[in-house]
Amino acid sequence: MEALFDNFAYMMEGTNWQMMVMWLIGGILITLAIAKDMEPSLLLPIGFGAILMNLPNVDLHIIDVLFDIGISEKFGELFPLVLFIGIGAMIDFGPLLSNPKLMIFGAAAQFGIFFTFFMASLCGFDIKDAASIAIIGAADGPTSIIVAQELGSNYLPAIMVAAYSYMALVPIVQPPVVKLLTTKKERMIRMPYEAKEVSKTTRILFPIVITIITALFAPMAVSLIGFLMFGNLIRECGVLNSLSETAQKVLANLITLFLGITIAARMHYSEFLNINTLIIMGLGLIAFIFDTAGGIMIAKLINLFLPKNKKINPMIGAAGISAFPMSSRVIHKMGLKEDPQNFLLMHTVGINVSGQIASVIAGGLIMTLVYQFS
Amino acid sequence: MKFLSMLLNPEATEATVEATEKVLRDTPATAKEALQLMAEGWGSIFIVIIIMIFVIMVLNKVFSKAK
Repeated sequence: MEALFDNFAYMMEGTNWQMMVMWLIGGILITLAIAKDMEPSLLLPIGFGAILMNLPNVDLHIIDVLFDIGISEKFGELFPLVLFIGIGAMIDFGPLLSNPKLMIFGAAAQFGIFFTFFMASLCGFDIKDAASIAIIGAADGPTSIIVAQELGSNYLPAIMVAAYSYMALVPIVQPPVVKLLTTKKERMIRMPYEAKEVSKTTRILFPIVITIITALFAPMAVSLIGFLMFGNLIRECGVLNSLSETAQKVLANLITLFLGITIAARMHYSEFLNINTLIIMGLGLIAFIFDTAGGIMIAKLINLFLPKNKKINPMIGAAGISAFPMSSRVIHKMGLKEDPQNFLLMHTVGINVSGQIASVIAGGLIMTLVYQFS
Repeated sequence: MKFLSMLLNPEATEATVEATEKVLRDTPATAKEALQLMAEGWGSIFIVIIIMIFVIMVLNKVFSKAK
């Protein structure tokens, strides 16, 4: 019994207010995950991990080991790359392949990444941190992890929490921006979908070709694109159905399980609780807002050159953000709200998956471009 | 050209690679530098994506005929 009380006294001695704040943050993330169904597969483990890492006088060496194996550069950032195999296996690029011009909106909606680099630099973050914060705008967890790790950013936990939180908040963040930048008339533009068949050969060659093009122009993104496209090739080849299913379900779930709790390795209050974390959350929001704006503005620009009966609904540009499939559904629902006969989903899905590719390339490019400031 | 020079003179290429292994500056980018990166980065994505669009259109054209 005495040992029990001794343990309790020892734990209470080691507790401070910063730990309690982290317990609260962990609790909020868990509540958002469960009660609001916001990216529960990641926010719940991150939230729980935040509590775990901030218990007094507790040695959680295993989480450091998981971090070294799965996230640090030591073993090549294993978790995010392997997760991308699962993500690639989940994605159907058919709507994109039937209308590849939609990829332009995937590129446009990465504007927020570069604008946020500008803003983060103005806020005084050094180059590696500004670039790592900017990549929150990629709206993609693995890309954010890899860029932050490769550049050696000090703010990986804050970046992860921001990235995953805003991905879950897309239904709240995007609609006001879309309404601000478009008129009702523009939102009601109908875009009938003509299904075009895509050959199996194209579907098989697509992942190989994309990987090669990325290697030629954005080599630092090859690991991410390569694993994403490998997953997609497993899906599309037609002879590896059990592997594809394993990648989509078991592998993706397993890695997601470890990834969330491992991120928490850097959520000790000494690393997480500072004013910069708040600034990073703010910059993350800016990234998402300007991603949305970038996609919409390019659509409006293209519309200037199109005949009246061929106009694009500029809302679909917003779907170029890489938050798949949430963003495509949000924009589709907004279109239906304006006109119940306007089905934008096939367009927005194509653009959304192109955003996945574009965001990874953006990550590779930013990792290359920052070195010109050595 | 670069590939050819790598084939013909690998030692010079290695020296170039060493010289280009730079360390990131630990100060913020200036506004001008950040704007430059913004323009280069966003512009570069468009170029890469346009190349991908073109290649996919070629694939669609070639393999739809082959069907």
